[in-house]
Amino acid sequence: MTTPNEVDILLVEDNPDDLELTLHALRRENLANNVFAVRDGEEALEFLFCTGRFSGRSFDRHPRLVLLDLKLPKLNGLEVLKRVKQDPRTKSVPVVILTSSKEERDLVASYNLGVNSYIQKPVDFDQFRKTVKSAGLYWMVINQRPLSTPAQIAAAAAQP
Amino acid sequence: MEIFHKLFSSNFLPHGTCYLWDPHIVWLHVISDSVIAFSYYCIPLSLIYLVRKRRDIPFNWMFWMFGLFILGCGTTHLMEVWTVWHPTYLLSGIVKAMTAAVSIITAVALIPLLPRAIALPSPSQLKETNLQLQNQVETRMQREEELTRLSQELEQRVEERTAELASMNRSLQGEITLGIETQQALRASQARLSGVIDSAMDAIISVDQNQKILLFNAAAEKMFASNACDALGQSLDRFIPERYRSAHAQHVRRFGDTGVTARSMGSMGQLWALRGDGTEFPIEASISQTEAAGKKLFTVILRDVTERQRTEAALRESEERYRLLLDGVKDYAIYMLDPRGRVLSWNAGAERVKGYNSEEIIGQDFACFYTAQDRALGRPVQELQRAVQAGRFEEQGIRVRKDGTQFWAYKIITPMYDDAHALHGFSVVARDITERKQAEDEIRNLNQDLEQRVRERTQELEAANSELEAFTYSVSHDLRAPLRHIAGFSKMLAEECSGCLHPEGRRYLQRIQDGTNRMGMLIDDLLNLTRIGRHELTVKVSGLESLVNDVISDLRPDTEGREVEWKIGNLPFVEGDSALLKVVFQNLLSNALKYTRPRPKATIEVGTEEIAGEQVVYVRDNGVGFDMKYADKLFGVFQRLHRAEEFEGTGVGLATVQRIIQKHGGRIWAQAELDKGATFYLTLGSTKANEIDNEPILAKETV
Repeated sequence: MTTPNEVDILLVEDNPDDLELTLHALRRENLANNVFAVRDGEEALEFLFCTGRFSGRSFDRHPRLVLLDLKLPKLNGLEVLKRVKQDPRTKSVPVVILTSSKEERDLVASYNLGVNSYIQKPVDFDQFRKTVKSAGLYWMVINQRPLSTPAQIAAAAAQP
Repeated sequence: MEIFHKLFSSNFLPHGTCYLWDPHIVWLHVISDSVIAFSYYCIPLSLIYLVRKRRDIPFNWMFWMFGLFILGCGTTHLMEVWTVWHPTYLLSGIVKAMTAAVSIITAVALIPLLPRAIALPSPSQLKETNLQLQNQVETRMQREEELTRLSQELEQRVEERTAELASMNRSLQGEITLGIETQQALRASQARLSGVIDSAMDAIISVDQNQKILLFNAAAEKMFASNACDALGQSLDRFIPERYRSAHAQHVRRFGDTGVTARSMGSMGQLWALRGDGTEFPIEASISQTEAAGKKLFTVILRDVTERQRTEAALRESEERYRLLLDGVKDYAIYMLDPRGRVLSWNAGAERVKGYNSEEIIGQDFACFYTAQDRALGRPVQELQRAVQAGRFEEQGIRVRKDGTQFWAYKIITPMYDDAHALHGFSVVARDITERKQAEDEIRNLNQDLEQRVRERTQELEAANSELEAFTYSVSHDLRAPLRHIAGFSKMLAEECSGCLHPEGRRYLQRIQDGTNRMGMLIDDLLNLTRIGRHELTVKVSGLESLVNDVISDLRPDTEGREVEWKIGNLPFVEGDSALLKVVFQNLLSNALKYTRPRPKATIEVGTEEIAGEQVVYVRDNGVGFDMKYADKLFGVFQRLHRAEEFEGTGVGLATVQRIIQKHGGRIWAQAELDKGATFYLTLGSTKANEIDNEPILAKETV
């Protein structure tokens, strides 16, 4: 686990088993060094918007990937996604839904809200590990992000 | 001048000298001659006066001659006086000569005049004539008066007569016209008459006083089956049955005595006639008599009424049957009304339905069958009027029985018309439908209940549906999660702690992992199945052949190390949801592959066949097949015909296939024999996407 300001991956997961399995999988692929886990939707928003418990955080240090479960206490994953993607300060943060649900309506809703990827957790653990590995590699290594801070991006987007 | 002088000079001695101047003689001559001359001068004057006054005197020119001649004579006498003293004898001689000339002319002229002068009536004659004339004139005048009177009378009479004649003329004119018309009519009538006699439907036979046939028309020939030439001159008896002959003869005689021109026969009973072939037939007859040249002629007009009697009998029978029928009808009130709505007839059914017997009700106004309210609204009359307007009136309504109880009646009022199209009355057919009405009410209530229940059930189902959805969501998410955890942790256990496990423990761990994988597959298949149920079809035309080939290439990994022969026939283009159709063939073909696994060479065939005029697609394999007694379980969810050790599977595949085919409006069935392969047949209905919905079945049932 890492400090909130050095987070590469924000893992939003309420279930301790899933949390452990996911962390295990990430760890196996050496992606778990800068992983920070929050346990419900509200906490996820506080983290991302630097409020409440995370008011000390800076917008300049956003995570490089958010792994978001859909079924969450307080605020569910879709609500979190909506807030993140609607706010210019956070909308460039890649959000990957990592869920048990393969429901079409969840998929459609997620994509409508601007999710970057949607991954169903396979029952088979080997498959799960492969999936986590692929997703982590893709977003953490292959994918290119702008060098500007999210604040700069937001400012540029506000100009005509 | 010399002649004049000679005239008035002379050397002669005056005439007095001859008288010797004897004064007596001289004066005698002188005075006499003077008087004569004077007289002679007076006469012409008188004559001239007369002639001028009496211009009508005949031969008046003779008076002028006389006047001239007498004037000459007077002048000669005057010359005698003159010559007594003056001896101008030449002058005197000339005067005498002129007088002589005039006198001779007058004398000559007088001669031819004499007879005419003699003919001139004398005054006495004239007077007499006058008198006569007078008389005649008077007589004439009297006559004239008489004539005038007569003439007036005559004129009067002439006028009267003229008027009379004019009117007679007019009537004559009319009579003449009438006469002409009558003649024409008579001629036409005669022509018609002979035509009528010849073409008459009725037999016309004329006989004389002795019953001898004088006229026998064509209809008679036909009716009696006898030729006219055979009948004429014969006795009428040959056409009368023997038992009636004498009576008939008497009858005709009596009729002859009555002097009545014509009358119908048979007042005493049915008349019978006899044909030439001896058969008898009923007739109707009338007889007439005429007298010509002192001989009586009887003419009989006959009609064969066999057919009519038969018809009448049939009609009577039919009416009787009809009456019996009407009386026999107990459930329907059938009655007739006159045009004003009074009851004319009443059947047993009417008595049963309405409670009145026919004696009570016939002649009564049918308004008594209505409720007081309907009567107040004038409905009985209105219904009759509407029946007349529309040709029929039909309704259900409350009616009243004799005992005052009310019942529901269904009735039809039909107007009836006579041959002249005048309203003759109404027929009414009514039925007590109280029971039916109650049944209907009951059905209506039941229907309402049912609808209510359907609504409730629908709500329940909708609730269940959304529960089910929540459930599948839950299965999809929540049930998979612990499964994943079991799988994950057991995997981690196997990897990281297998060293501390007994081999038996490791086997148990493997069984846990197999079980979780299987559970994962089951959940996925089940979710697929429910998803198909909720899936809306996207129908388009897709080629089955390329679809099947795609599926086969997807299945390639499963065929590794096996000999599989694919026989793909010409497959049609079909309308359907290609994604779902692909699921169908994925299932069917992977099943075929699975169940041919024991065969050294698998043969899998996909083709079409026509069954009962319908194009059917089939998938056939040479696999292990199945016993047809389990065919009904084939498509059930979680139903399997093989043990899991033999052939893996969740028992959801064929249920999914059936669900998809049914959603397309098609059918699927299988034909197999244990160990001899299986064939799956399927049809795709031509149903369009919008007809296949989640609700249509319910919608159709409520319509």
